[in-house]
Amino acid sequence: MPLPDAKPDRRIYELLKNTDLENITFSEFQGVAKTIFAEQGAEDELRRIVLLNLARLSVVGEWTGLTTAGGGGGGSVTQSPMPLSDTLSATYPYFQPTDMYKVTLIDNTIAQVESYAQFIRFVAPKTGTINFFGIRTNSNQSGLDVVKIGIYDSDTDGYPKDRLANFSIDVNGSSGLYSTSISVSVTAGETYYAAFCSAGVAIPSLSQQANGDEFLALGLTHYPGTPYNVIFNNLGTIFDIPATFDKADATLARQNQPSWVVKYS
Amino acid sequence: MPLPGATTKEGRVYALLKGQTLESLTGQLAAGEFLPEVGNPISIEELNEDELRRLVLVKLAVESVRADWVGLTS
Repeated sequence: MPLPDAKPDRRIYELLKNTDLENITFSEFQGVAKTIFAEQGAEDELRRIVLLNLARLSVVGEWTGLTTAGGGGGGSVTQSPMPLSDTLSATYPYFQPTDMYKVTLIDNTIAQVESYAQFIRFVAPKTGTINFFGIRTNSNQSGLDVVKIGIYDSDTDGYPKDRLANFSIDVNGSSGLYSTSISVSVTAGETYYAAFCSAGVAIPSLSQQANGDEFLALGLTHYPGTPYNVIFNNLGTIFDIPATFDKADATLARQNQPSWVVKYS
Repeated sequence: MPLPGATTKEGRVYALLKGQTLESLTGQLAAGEFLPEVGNPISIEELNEDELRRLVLVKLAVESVRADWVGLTS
């Protein structure tokens, strides 16, 4: 039976699935709860956080400090380490679905790799060095141009900022996974962008995600309006992964976008 | 979904807290800082019972995230 009048949970219990009260650590609990917004729309989550914390502490032991003077405790804020073994916990706490972006808008569904760079936002799930970047093709791409790719950090407004890595992947050949070695240091919870464009007019076709279907949670949204999934540099330089991002060159867009993967060293 | 039986109207507490995560509020708990001032002023009357419940709920949620309640069990 859920909390009275609450909607079904999609976060707290999902992220803590297979964890029992006796074994859950404060860090695990904190990692799931800390990025919840203190807003009416998240009230069910707030109730579940309080319920879960009290339940967790009910199992820890008798609440002797509750009825004695000078119970102590408190102390400084503890920052939880990222639970690397749990994909959901490692990633979802950093998604912020109400981020606002204010560049102008376009809405089209053109090629997942374009002649102008498109920036796809991602949030590093853990701190470390990314040393592998891969993309995939579904068909033979012989005779087509290479894919130019850049990794960017972000500014205080959440836009792409400076290029951290600049490389290309040649997908000429039969369908399959194509990759390259890179070295980019990232910090857990920070926003980054992967930018893609073709090196020439013979644009290769990559495995892709249609429009925003897989990326709505990454924050490119005019809440509560239409969500956008990429920043498109269609007013910038053609066939270019710029060294720095310029808002004047960009629009928000709903576009097909390449499927891509990174690995940490 | 609001607290059981509460009005759906977004009152003072959530209006002032809009955009704040629990983590960001953990550093704004001292007297005179942001979270206490959310409840200042809320007059103690039945009309404000929903706001009182919301204030307590947010306070408990923030304290749940701020640090482990080791003092409770020791």
